[in-house]
Amino acid sequence: MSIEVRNLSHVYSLGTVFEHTAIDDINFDVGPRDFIGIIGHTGCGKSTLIQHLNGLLKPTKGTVVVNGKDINKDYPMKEIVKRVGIVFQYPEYQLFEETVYKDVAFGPKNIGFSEEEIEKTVRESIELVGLDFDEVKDQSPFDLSGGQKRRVAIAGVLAMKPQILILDEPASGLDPMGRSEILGYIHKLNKEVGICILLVSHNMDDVADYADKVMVFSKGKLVMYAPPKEVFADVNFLEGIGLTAPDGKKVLLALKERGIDVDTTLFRTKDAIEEILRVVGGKK
Amino acid sequence: MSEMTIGQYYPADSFVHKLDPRTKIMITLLYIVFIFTVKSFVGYIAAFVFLVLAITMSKIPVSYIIKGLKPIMFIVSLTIIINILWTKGENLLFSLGFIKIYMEGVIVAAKMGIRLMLLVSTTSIMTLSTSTIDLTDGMEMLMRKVPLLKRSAHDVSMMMSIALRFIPTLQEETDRIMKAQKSRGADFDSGNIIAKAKAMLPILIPLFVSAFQRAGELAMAMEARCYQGGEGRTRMKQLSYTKLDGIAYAVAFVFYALMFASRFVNLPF
Repeated sequence: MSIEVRNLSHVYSLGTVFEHTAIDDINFDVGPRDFIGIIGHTGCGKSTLIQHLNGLLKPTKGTVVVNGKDINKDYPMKEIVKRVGIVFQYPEYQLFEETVYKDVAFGPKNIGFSEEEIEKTVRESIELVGLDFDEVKDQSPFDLSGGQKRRVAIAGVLAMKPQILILDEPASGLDPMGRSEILGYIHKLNKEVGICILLVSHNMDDVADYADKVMVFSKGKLVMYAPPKEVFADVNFLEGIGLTAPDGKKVLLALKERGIDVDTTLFRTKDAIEEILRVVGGKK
Repeated sequence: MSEMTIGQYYPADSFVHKLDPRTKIMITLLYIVFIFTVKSFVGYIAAFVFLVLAITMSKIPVSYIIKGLKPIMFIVSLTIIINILWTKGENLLFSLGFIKIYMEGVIVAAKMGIRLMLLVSTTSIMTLSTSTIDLTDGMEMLMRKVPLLKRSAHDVSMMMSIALRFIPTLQEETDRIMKAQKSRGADFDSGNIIAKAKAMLPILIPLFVSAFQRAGELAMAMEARCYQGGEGRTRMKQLSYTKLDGIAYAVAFVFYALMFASRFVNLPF
Protein backbone atom coordinates (compact mmCIF):
# COMPACT_ATOMS: atom_id res chain seq x y z
CA MET A 1 0.00 0.00 0.00
CA SER A 2 1.43 3.32 -0.96
CA ILE A 3 0.20 6.90 -1.26
CA GLU A 4 1.45 9.40 -3.79
CA VAL A 5 0.31 12.98 -3.49
CA ARG A 6 1.05 15.35 -6.35
CA ASN A 7 0.56 19.15 -6.51
CA LEU A 8 -2.31 18.91 -4.03
CA SER A 9 -4.01 22.21 -3.22
CA HIS A 10 -7.28 22.94 -1.49
CA VAL A 11 -9.08 26.26 -1.34
CA TYR A 12 -12.14 26.64 0.90
CA SER A 13 -15.12 28.79 -0.20
CA LEU A 14 -13.53 29.54 -3.55
CA GLY A 15 -14.73 32.83 -4.99
CA THR A 16 -16.33 34.30 -1.83
CA VAL A 17 -15.12 36.67 0.88
CA PHE A 18 -14.38 33.62 3.00
CA GLU A 19 -11.89 32.22 0.46
CA HIS A 20 -8.98 30.56 2.20
CA THR A 21 -6.15 28.38 0.90
CA ALA A 22 -5.74 25.54 3.37
CA ILE A 23 -3.05 23.53 1.62
CA ASP A 24 -0.86 24.65 -1.20
CA ASP A 25 0.96 22.48 -3.72
CA ILE A 26 1.74 19.47 -1.54
CA ASN A 27 3.90 16.62 -2.88
CA PHE A 28 4.95 13.46 -1.06
CA ASP A 29 5.13 9.67 -1.16
CA VAL A 30 4.31 7.27 1.63
CA GLY A 31 5.53 3.69 1.33
CA PRO A 32 4.01 0.49 2.73
CA ARG A 33 4.63 -0.15 6.46
CA ASP A 34 5.82 3.43 7.01
CA PHE A 35 5.14 5.14 10.32
CA ILE A 36 4.85 8.82 9.49
CA GLY A 37 4.44 11.64 11.98
CA ILE A 38 2.69 14.79 10.82
CA ILE A 39 3.38 17.96 12.79
CA GLY A 40 2.53 21.61 12.34
CA HIS A 41 1.09 24.59 14.14
CA THR A 42 -2.73 24.82 14.55
CA GLY A 43 -4.37 25.79 11.26
CA CYS A 44 -1.45 24.69 9.10
CA GLY A 45 -3.60 22.42 6.96
CA LYS A 46 -2.96 19.01 8.54
CA SER A 47 -6.64 18.17 8.95
CA THR A 48 -7.45 19.33 5.43
CA LEU A 49 -4.68 17.16 4.06
CA ILE A 50 -5.77 13.96 5.76
CA GLN A 51 -9.34 14.40 4.55
CA HIS A 52 -8.03 14.25 1.00
CA LEU A 53 -6.41 10.90 1.61
CA ASN A 54 -9.72 9.02 1.77
CA GLY A 55 -11.74 11.18 -0.58
CA LEU A 56 -13.76 13.16 2.00
CA LEU A 57 -12.51 16.35 0.42
CA LYS A 58 -11.93 16.74 -3.29
CA PRO A 59 -8.75 18.53 -4.28
CA THR A 60 -9.05 21.99 -5.81
CA LYS A 61 -5.94 21.01 -7.75
CA GLY A 62 -3.68 17.95 -7.87
CA THR A 63 -4.06 14.22 -7.35
CA VAL A 64 -4.03 11.63 -4.59
CA VAL A 65 -2.98 8.18 -5.77
CA VAL A 66 -3.43 5.16 -3.50
CA ASN A 67 -1.89 1.92 -4.74
CA GLY A 68 -1.46 3.25 -8.25
CA LYS A 69 -5.05 4.46 -8.59
CA ASP A 70 -6.35 8.02 -8.39
CA ILE A 71 -8.82 7.94 -5.51
CA ASN A 72 -10.99 10.63 -7.02
CA LYS A 73 -11.34 8.87 -10.35
CA ASP A 74 -10.75 5.14 -10.04
CA TYR A 75 -12.33 4.27 -6.68
CA PRO A 76 -15.88 4.52 -5.38
CA MET A 77 -15.94 5.91 -1.79
CA LYS A 78 -16.52 2.45 -0.28
CA GLU A 79 -13.40 1.05 -1.91
CA ILE A 80 -11.26 3.89 -0.58
CA VAL A 81 -12.44 3.60 3.01
CA LYS A 82 -11.64 -0.12 2.87
CA ARG A 83 -8.04 0.78 2.26
CA VAL A 84 -7.58 4.08 4.09
CA GLY A 85 -9.01 4.39 7.61
CA ILE A 86 -9.19 7.73 9.38
CA VAL A 87 -9.54 8.13 13.12
CA PHE A 88 -10.57 11.74 13.67
CA GLN A 89 -9.87 13.88 16.69
CA TYR A 90 -12.05 12.88 19.65
CA PRO A 91 -13.42 9.86 17.79
CA GLU A 92 -15.56 8.91 20.80
CA TYR A 93 -18.06 11.53 19.55
CA GLN A 94 -18.95 9.27 16.64
CA LEU A 95 -20.20 6.38 18.80
CA PHE A 96 -23.93 5.81 18.42
CA GLU A 97 -24.96 2.17 18.68
CA GLU A 98 -26.58 0.38 21.62
CA THR A 99 -23.66 -1.94 22.21
CA VAL A 100 -19.93 -1.80 21.70
CA TYR A 101 -20.12 -4.83 19.43
CA LYS A 102 -22.65 -3.21 17.10
CA ASP A 103 -20.72 0.02 16.97
CA VAL A 104 -17.45 -1.61 16.04
CA ALA A 105 -19.32 -3.73 13.49
CA PHE A 106 -20.81 -0.64 11.79
CA GLY A 107 -17.83 -0.04 9.49
CA PRO A 108 -17.20 -3.62 8.34
CA LYS A 109 -20.94 -4.09 7.77
CA ASN A 110 -21.08 -0.98 5.57
CA ILE A 111 -18.27 -2.17 3.34
CA GLY A 112 -19.82 -5.59 2.90
CA PHE A 113 -18.04 -8.02 5.24
CA SER A 114 -19.89 -11.31 5.83
CA GLU A 115 -21.35 -12.17 9.28
CA GLU A 116 -18.44 -14.47 10.18
CA GLU A 117 -15.88 -11.96 8.99
CA ILE A 118 -17.54 -9.25 11.03
CA GLU A 119 -17.53 -11.32 14.20
CA LYS A 120 -13.88 -12.18 13.74
CA THR A 121 -12.71 -8.69 12.89
CA VAL A 122 -14.71 -7.07 15.71
CA ARG A 123 -13.18 -9.42 18.27
CA GLU A 124 -9.69 -8.88 16.89
CA SER A 125 -9.91 -5.10 16.79
CA ILE A 126 -11.37 -4.78 20.27
CA GLU A 127 -8.55 -6.94 21.58
CA LEU A 128 -5.98 -5.02 19.52
CA VAL A 129 -6.83 -1.81 21.37
CA GLY A 130 -6.42 -3.57 24.68
CA LEU A 131 -10.02 -4.15 25.76
CA ASP A 132 -11.57 -7.41 26.94
CA PHE A 133 -13.95 -8.47 24.16
CA ASP A 134 -16.31 -10.56 26.32
CA GLU A 135 -16.49 -7.89 28.97
CA VAL A 136 -17.32 -4.88 26.79
CA LYS A 137 -19.14 -6.30 23.79
CA ASP A 138 -22.65 -6.00 25.24
CA GLN A 139 -22.09 -2.74 27.12
CA SER A 140 -23.44 0.55 25.87
CA PRO A 141 -20.56 2.63 24.51
CA PHE A 142 -21.98 5.60 26.44
CA ASP A 143 -21.37 3.83 29.76
CA LEU A 144 -17.64 3.44 29.19
CA SER A 145 -14.93 5.71 30.52
CA GLY A 146 -13.36 8.34 28.26
CA GLY A 147 -10.28 6.27 27.50
CA GLN A 148 -12.33 3.16 26.80
CA LYS A 149 -14.65 5.08 24.47
CA ARG A 150 -11.64 6.30 22.57
CA ARG A 151 -10.41 2.73 22.18
CA VAL A 152 -13.77 1.47 21.00
CA ALA A 153 -13.88 4.25 18.42
CA ILE A 154 -10.42 3.37 17.17
CA ALA A 155 -11.42 -0.30 17.07
CA GLY A 156 -14.37 0.74 14.91
CA VAL A 157 -11.97 1.94 12.25
CA LEU A 158 -9.50 -0.90 12.69
CA ALA A 159 -12.28 -3.42 12.18
CA MET A 160 -12.48 -2.36 8.55
CA LYS A 161 -8.96 -3.70 8.11
CA PRO A 162 -7.43 -0.68 6.43
CA GLN A 163 -3.89 -1.01 5.17
CA ILE A 164 -3.32 2.67 5.78
CA LEU A 165 -4.44 4.15 9.08
CA ILE A 166 -4.50 7.90 9.66
CA LEU A 167 -4.92 9.13 13.23
CA ASP A 168 -5.58 12.76 14.13
CA GLU A 169 -4.39 13.39 17.69
CA PRO A 170 -5.45 9.96 18.91
CA ALA A 171 -4.11 10.56 22.42
CA SER A 172 -5.31 14.10 23.09
CA GLY A 173 -7.24 14.56 26.29
CA LEU A 174 -6.14 11.21 27.73
CA ASP A 175 -4.15 10.78 30.93
CA PRO A 176 -0.42 9.94 30.53
CA MET A 177 -1.06 6.23 31.05
CA GLY A 178 -3.84 6.06 28.47
CA ARG A 179 -1.72 8.12 26.15
CA SER A 180 1.28 5.81 26.13
CA GLU A 181 -0.99 2.76 25.93
CA ILE A 182 -2.87 4.01 22.87
CA LEU A 183 0.35 5.00 21.14
CA GLY A 184 1.86 1.66 22.10
CA TYR A 185 -1.00 -0.18 20.34
CA ILE A 186 -0.58 2.00 17.27
CA HIS A 187 3.12 1.22 17.23
CA LYS A 188 2.32 -2.48 17.51
CA LEU A 189 -0.14 -2.25 14.62
CA ASN A 190 2.61 -0.82 12.48
CA LYS A 191 5.39 -3.20 13.47
CA GLU A 192 3.42 -6.44 13.91
CA VAL A 193 0.41 -6.16 11.63
CA GLY A 194 2.25 -4.06 9.05
CA ILE A 195 -0.32 -1.27 8.76
CA CYS A 196 1.01 1.99 7.37
CA ILE A 197 0.42 4.72 9.97
CA LEU A 198 0.10 8.47 9.57
CA LEU A 199 0.03 10.06 13.00
CA VAL A 200 -1.00 13.70 13.28
CA SER A 201 0.10 15.15 16.59
CA HIS A 202 0.84 18.35 18.47
CA ASN A 203 3.02 16.42 20.83
CA MET A 204 6.61 16.35 19.62
CA ASP A 205 7.50 13.55 22.04
CA ASP A 206 4.97 11.18 20.48
CA VAL A 207 6.23 11.87 17.00
CA ALA A 208 9.90 11.64 18.03
CA ASP A 209 9.32 8.37 19.88
CA TYR A 210 7.41 6.48 17.23
CA ALA A 211 7.70 7.94 13.73
CA ASP A 212 10.20 6.70 11.14
CA LYS A 213 9.70 9.83 9.06
CA VAL A 214 8.18 13.21 9.86
CA MET A 215 6.24 15.69 7.75
CA VAL A 216 6.37 19.29 8.91
CA PHE A 217 3.62 21.61 7.75
CA SER A 218 3.58 25.37 7.97
CA LYS A 219 0.93 27.71 6.56
CA GLY A 220 -0.43 25.11 4.16
CA LYS A 221 2.93 24.01 2.82
CA LEU A 222 4.93 20.85 3.40
CA VAL A 223 8.18 22.45 4.51
CA MET A 224 10.09 19.32 5.52
CA TYR A 225 9.76 15.57 5.06
CA ALA A 226 12.64 13.70 6.63
CA PRO A 227 13.59 11.21 9.36
CA PRO A 228 13.02 12.62 12.87
CA LYS A 229 16.74 12.95 13.51
CA GLU A 230 16.99 15.53 10.73
CA VAL A 231 13.70 17.25 11.52
CA PHE A 232 14.54 17.75 15.18
CA ALA A 233 18.16 18.74 14.44
CA ASP A 234 17.23 22.34 13.69
CA VAL A 235 15.35 23.52 16.74
CA ASN A 236 15.47 27.18 15.72
CA PHE A 237 13.69 26.40 12.49
CA LEU A 238 10.97 24.46 14.33
CA GLU A 239 10.45 27.26 16.82
CA GLY A 240 10.20 29.73 13.96
CA ILE A 241 7.10 27.95 12.67
CA GLY A 242 5.45 27.56 16.05
CA LEU A 243 6.75 24.10 16.94
CA THR A 244 9.35 22.93 19.41
CA ALA A 245 11.82 20.14 20.13
CA PRO A 246 10.83 16.97 22.02
CA ASP A 247 11.23 17.33 25.80
CA GLY A 248 14.12 14.85 26.02
CA LYS A 249 16.08 16.76 23.45
CA LYS A 250 15.36 20.05 25.24
CA VAL A 251 16.93 18.66 28.41
CA LEU A 252 19.99 17.50 26.48
CA LEU A 253 20.37 20.91 24.84
CA ALA A 254 20.08 22.65 28.21
CA LEU A 255 22.75 20.37 29.66
CA LYS A 256 25.03 21.04 26.73
CA GLU A 257 24.59 24.77 27.26
CA ARG A 258 25.78 24.33 30.83
CA GLY A 259 28.96 22.69 29.57
CA ILE A 260 28.04 19.04 30.08
CA ASP A 261 29.15 16.86 27.21
CA VAL A 262 26.01 15.08 25.97
CA ASP A 263 24.97 13.86 22.55
CA THR A 264 22.35 16.41 21.45
CA THR A 265 21.48 14.55 18.26
CA LEU A 266 19.33 12.15 20.29
CA PHE A 267 15.62 12.94 20.18
CA ARG A 268 13.69 9.92 21.53
CA THR A 269 12.65 10.21 25.16
CA LYS A 270 14.11 6.79 25.94
CA ASP A 271 17.48 7.60 24.35
CA ALA A 272 17.63 10.97 26.08
CA ILE A 273 17.03 9.34 29.48
CA GLU A 274 19.81 6.82 28.83
CA GLU A 275 22.18 9.59 27.77
CA ILE A 276 21.46 11.58 30.90
CA LEU A 277 21.93 8.50 33.07
CA ARG A 278 25.23 7.85 31.29
CA VAL A 279 26.66 11.29 32.03
CA VAL A 280 25.50 11.38 35.64
CA GLY A 281 26.94 7.90 36.06
CA GLY A 282 23.73 6.25 37.08
CA LYS A 283 23.02 2.70 36.15
CA LYS A 284 20.36 1.48 33.82
CA MET B 1 -25.03 21.55 5.55
CA SER B 2 -23.03 24.69 4.78
CA GLU B 3 -25.86 25.77 2.47
CA MET B 4 -27.79 27.37 5.34
CA THR B 5 -27.76 31.14 5.28
CA ILE B 6 -30.14 31.84 8.15
CA GLY B 7 -28.16 33.12 11.10
CA GLN B 8 -25.11 33.61 8.93
CA TYR B 9 -23.49 37.01 8.94
CA TYR B 10 -22.01 38.42 5.75
CA PRO B 11 -19.46 41.06 6.74
CA ALA B 12 -19.34 44.12 4.50
CA ASP B 13 -19.02 47.87 4.77
CA SER B 14 -22.37 49.15 3.54
CA PHE B 15 -25.25 51.46 4.30
CA VAL B 16 -27.44 48.61 5.50
CA HIS B 17 -24.68 47.16 7.68
CA LYS B 18 -24.26 50.51 9.41
CA LEU B 19 -27.92 50.83 10.36
CA ASP B 20 -29.01 50.31 13.94
CA PRO B 21 -30.30 46.76 14.37
CA ARG B 22 -33.58 48.11 15.75
CA THR B 23 -34.13 50.00 12.51
CA LYS B 24 -33.52 46.89 10.43
CA ILE B 25 -35.83 44.78 12.57
CA MET B 26 -38.62 47.37 12.50
CA ILE B 27 -38.32 47.97 8.75
CA THR B 28 -38.42 44.23 8.10
CA LEU B 29 -41.41 43.72 10.42
CA LEU B 30 -43.34 46.56 8.82
CA TYR B 31 -42.44 45.29 5.38
CA ILE B 32 -43.95 41.94 6.29
CA VAL B 33 -47.12 43.66 7.54
CA PHE B 34 -47.48 45.85 4.46
CA ILE B 35 -46.81 43.10 2.01
CA PHE B 36 -49.97 41.43 3.26
CA THR B 37 -51.92 44.55 2.36
CA VAL B 38 -50.80 44.37 -1.26
CA LYS B 39 -53.60 43.29 -3.55
CA SER B 40 -52.27 43.86 -7.07
CA PHE B 41 -49.14 43.15 -9.02
CA VAL B 42 -48.33 46.86 -9.07
CA GLY B 43 -47.89 46.70 -5.30
CA TYR B 44 -45.56 43.74 -5.67
CA ILE B 45 -43.47 45.73 -8.11
CA ALA B 46 -43.03 48.39 -5.41
CA ALA B 47 -42.13 45.70 -2.89
CA PHE B 48 -39.68 44.16 -5.32
CA VAL B 49 -38.00 47.49 -6.08
CA PHE B 50 -37.57 48.00 -2.35
CA LEU B 51 -35.93 44.55 -2.08
CA VAL B 52 -33.57 45.27 -4.98
CA LEU B 53 -32.68 48.60 -3.42
CA ALA B 54 -31.99 46.92 -0.07
CA ILE B 55 -29.80 44.26 -1.68
CA THR B 56 -27.82 46.87 -3.60
CA MET B 57 -27.34 49.04 -0.55
CA SER B 58 -26.23 46.07 1.55
CA LYS B 59 -23.50 44.92 -0.88
CA ILE B 60 -24.56 41.33 -0.23
CA PRO B 61 -24.11 39.16 -3.36
CA VAL B 62 -27.47 38.18 -4.87
CA SER B 63 -26.29 34.55 -4.89
CA TYR B 64 -26.44 34.59 -1.07
CA ILE B 65 -30.06 35.74 -1.11
CA ILE B 66 -30.98 33.11 -3.68
CA LYS B 67 -29.23 30.45 -1.65
CA GLY B 68 -31.38 31.51 1.30
CA LEU B 69 -34.49 30.89 -0.80
CA LYS B 70 -33.61 27.29 -1.58
CA PRO B 71 -34.88 25.74 1.67
CA ILE B 72 -38.33 27.34 1.23
CA MET B 73 -38.75 26.36 -2.42
CA PHE B 74 -40.65 23.24 -1.34
CA ILE B 75 -43.19 25.24 0.66
CA VAL B 76 -43.50 27.79 -2.13
CA SER B 77 -44.21 25.14 -4.76
CA LEU B 78 -46.68 23.41 -2.47
CA THR B 79 -48.52 26.68 -1.87
CA ILE B 80 -48.62 27.41 -5.58
CA ILE B 81 -49.94 23.95 -6.47
CA ILE B 82 -52.64 23.99 -3.79
CA ASN B 83 -53.80 27.46 -4.78
CA ILE B 84 -53.92 26.61 -8.46
CA LEU B 85 -55.91 23.43 -7.87
CA TRP B 86 -58.33 24.62 -5.20
CA THR B 87 -59.23 28.17 -6.15
CA LYS B 88 -62.60 28.37 -7.91
CA GLY B 89 -63.36 31.17 -10.33
CA GLU B 90 -65.13 32.08 -13.50
CA ASN B 91 -62.50 31.91 -16.21
CA LEU B 92 -61.82 28.23 -16.77
CA LEU B 93 -58.39 27.75 -18.32
CA PHE B 94 -58.04 24.00 -18.33
CA SER B 95 -59.92 20.97 -17.14
CA LEU B 96 -59.11 17.29 -16.99
CA GLY B 97 -61.57 15.08 -15.16
CA PHE B 98 -62.00 16.52 -11.68
CA ILE B 99 -59.03 18.89 -12.08
CA LYS B 100 -60.21 22.35 -13.01
CA ILE B 101 -57.78 25.24 -13.29
CA TYR B 102 -59.14 28.78 -13.27
CA MET B 103 -57.41 32.01 -14.23
CA GLU B 104 -58.19 33.33 -10.74
CA GLY B 105 -56.34 30.39 -9.21
CA VAL B 106 -53.23 31.02 -11.26
CA ILE B 107 -53.21 34.68 -10.23
CA VAL B 108 -53.71 33.91 -6.54
CA ALA B 109 -50.98 31.26 -6.69
CA ALA B 110 -48.52 33.60 -8.38
CA LYS B 111 -49.20 36.29 -5.78
CA MET B 112 -48.69 33.83 -2.92
CA GLY B 113 -45.43 32.62 -4.37
CA ILE B 114 -44.10 36.12 -4.91
CA ARG B 115 -45.17 37.16 -1.43
CA LEU B 116 -43.38 34.27 0.28
CA MET B 117 -40.19 34.80 -1.66
CA LEU B 118 -40.18 38.54 -0.94
CA LEU B 119 -40.73 37.85 2.76
CA VAL B 120 -37.84 35.43 3.03
CA SER B 121 -35.44 37.49 0.91
CA THR B 122 -36.03 40.62 2.94
CA THR B 123 -35.63 38.78 6.21
CA SER B 124 -32.40 37.23 5.01
CA ILE B 125 -30.99 40.65 4.15
CA MET B 126 -31.64 41.61 7.74
CA THR B 127 -29.90 38.53 9.16
CA LEU B 128 -27.03 38.61 6.66
CA SER B 129 -26.25 42.26 7.35
CA THR B 130 -26.51 42.14 11.14
CA SER B 131 -24.25 40.20 13.48
CA THR B 132 -26.15 37.91 15.84
CA ILE B 133 -25.16 39.95 18.88
CA ASP B 134 -26.51 43.14 17.34
CA LEU B 135 -29.62 41.33 16.23
CA THR B 136 -30.52 39.99 19.65
CA ASP B 137 -29.54 43.26 21.34
CA GLY B 138 -31.88 45.07 18.99
CA MET B 139 -34.70 42.62 19.68
CA GLU B 140 -34.22 42.94 23.40
CA MET B 141 -34.37 46.73 23.21
CA LEU B 142 -37.50 46.62 21.07
CA MET B 143 -39.24 44.08 23.27
CA ARG B 144 -38.61 46.25 26.31
CA LYS B 145 -40.91 48.81 24.76
CA VAL B 146 -43.78 46.32 24.67
CA PRO B 147 -45.58 46.12 28.03
CA LEU B 148 -46.39 42.39 27.85
CA LEU B 149 -42.93 41.32 26.73
CA LYS B 150 -41.00 43.66 28.97
CA ARG B 151 -40.29 41.22 31.78
CA SER B 152 -39.01 38.36 29.65
CA ALA B 153 -37.23 40.51 27.05
CA HIS B 154 -33.78 39.69 28.33
CA ASP B 155 -34.38 35.97 28.77
CA VAL B 156 -35.87 35.59 25.33
CA SER B 157 -33.06 37.49 23.66
CA MET B 158 -30.45 35.53 25.63
CA MET B 159 -32.03 32.25 24.54
CA MET B 160 -32.09 33.45 20.97
CA SER B 161 -28.52 34.58 20.97
CA ILE B 162 -27.42 31.26 22.45
CA ALA B 163 -29.45 29.36 19.87
CA LEU B 164 -28.02 31.43 17.03
CA ARG B 165 -24.55 31.19 18.49
CA PHE B 166 -24.76 27.40 18.42
CA ILE B 167 -25.99 27.05 14.85
CA PRO B 168 -22.47 27.15 13.36
CA THR B 169 -21.10 25.01 16.17
CA LEU B 170 -23.70 22.32 15.60
CA GLN B 171 -23.21 22.56 11.87
CA GLU B 172 -19.52 22.01 12.31
CA GLU B 173 -20.22 19.13 14.65
CA THR B 174 -22.63 17.57 12.15
CA ASP B 175 -20.04 17.95 9.45
CA ARG B 176 -17.40 16.31 11.62
CA ILE B 177 -19.59 13.38 12.63
CA MET B 178 -20.72 12.93 9.04
CA LYS B 179 -17.13 12.75 7.87
CA ALA B 180 -16.24 10.27 10.60
CA GLN B 181 -19.18 8.02 9.66
CA LYS B 182 -18.45 8.35 5.96
CA SER B 183 -14.93 7.20 6.72
CA ARG B 184 -16.55 4.14 8.25
CA GLY B 185 -18.37 3.47 5.01
CA ALA B 186 -21.71 5.03 5.93
CA ASP B 187 -23.84 5.88 2.90
CA PHE B 188 -26.24 8.82 3.23
CA ASP B 189 -27.29 9.23 -0.35
CA SER B 190 -28.66 5.97 -1.71
CA GLY B 191 -31.75 3.92 -0.91
CA ASN B 192 -35.38 4.96 -0.43
CA ILE B 193 -36.69 7.44 2.10
CA ILE B 194 -36.77 4.94 4.96
CA ALA B 195 -33.21 3.79 4.27
CA LYS B 196 -32.09 7.40 4.13
CA ALA B 197 -33.82 8.24 7.41
CA LYS B 198 -32.18 5.23 9.05
CA ALA B 199 -28.81 6.31 7.68
CA MET B 200 -29.20 9.58 9.58
CA LEU B 201 -29.17 7.81 12.97
CA PRO B 202 -25.38 7.50 13.16
CA ILE B 203 -25.26 11.28 12.81
CA LEU B 204 -28.25 12.29 14.92
CA ILE B 205 -27.49 10.24 18.02
CA PRO B 206 -23.95 11.55 18.54
CA LEU B 207 -25.17 15.03 17.65
CA PHE B 208 -27.91 14.97 20.30
CA VAL B 209 -25.59 13.52 22.90
CA SER B 210 -23.07 16.29 22.37
CA ALA B 211 -25.71 19.03 22.15
CA PHE B 212 -27.09 18.06 25.57
CA GLN B 213 -23.60 17.88 26.95
CA ARG B 214 -22.80 21.32 25.60
CA ALA B 215 -26.02 22.76 27.01
CA GLY B 216 -25.18 21.42 30.46
CA GLU B 217 -21.64 22.72 30.31
CA LEU B 218 -22.76 26.14 29.14
CA ALA B 219 -25.36 26.43 31.93
CA MET B 220 -22.69 25.50 34.46
CA ALA B 221 -20.21 27.98 33.04
CA MET B 222 -22.81 30.77 33.11
CA GLU B 223 -23.78 30.04 36.69
CA ALA B 224 -20.15 29.89 37.70
CA ARG B 225 -19.88 33.47 36.51
CA CYS B 226 -22.94 34.44 38.53
CA TYR B 227 -25.32 34.91 35.62
CA GLN B 228 -28.83 35.52 36.93
CA GLY B 229 -30.80 37.06 34.13
CA GLY B 230 -31.20 40.61 32.98
CA GLU B 231 -31.77 42.38 36.28
CA GLY B 232 -29.25 45.13 36.84
CA ARG B 233 -27.18 44.08 33.90
CA THR B 234 -25.40 46.86 32.04
CA ARG B 235 -24.13 46.60 28.52
CA MET B 236 -20.81 47.37 26.93
CA LYS B 237 -22.18 48.38 23.55
CA GLN B 238 -25.04 50.90 23.65
CA LEU B 239 -27.27 51.06 20.62
CA SER B 240 -27.80 54.50 19.15
CA TYR B 241 -29.73 55.86 16.18
CA THR B 242 -27.93 57.97 13.59
CA LYS B 243 -28.91 60.05 10.60
CA LEU B 244 -28.70 56.93 8.42
CA ASP B 245 -31.57 55.36 10.36
CA GLY B 246 -33.75 58.36 9.64
CA ILE B 247 -33.01 58.09 5.92
CA ALA B 248 -33.74 54.35 5.95
CA TYR B 249 -37.08 54.85 7.70
CA ALA B 250 -38.05 57.64 5.31
CA VAL B 251 -37.27 55.51 2.23
CA ALA B 252 -39.03 52.51 3.71
CA PHE B 253 -42.18 54.51 4.45
CA VAL B 254 -42.34 55.79 0.89
CA PHE B 255 -42.39 52.21 -0.29
CA TYR B 256 -44.91 51.14 2.36
CA ALA B 257 -47.16 53.93 1.16
CA LEU B 258 -46.79 52.78 -2.44
CA MET B 259 -47.52 49.19 -1.48
CA PHE B 260 -50.60 50.19 0.49
CA ALA B 261 -51.82 52.67 -2.13
CA SER B 262 -51.72 49.98 -4.79
CA ARG B 263 -54.89 48.56 -3.16
CA PHE B 264 -56.88 51.47 -4.47
CA VAL B 265 -55.55 51.45 -8.00
CA ASN B 266 -57.99 49.69 -10.25
CA LEU B 267 -56.19 47.39 -12.62
CA PRO B 268 -57.35 44.25 -14.42
CA PHE B 269 -55.06 42.14 -12.17
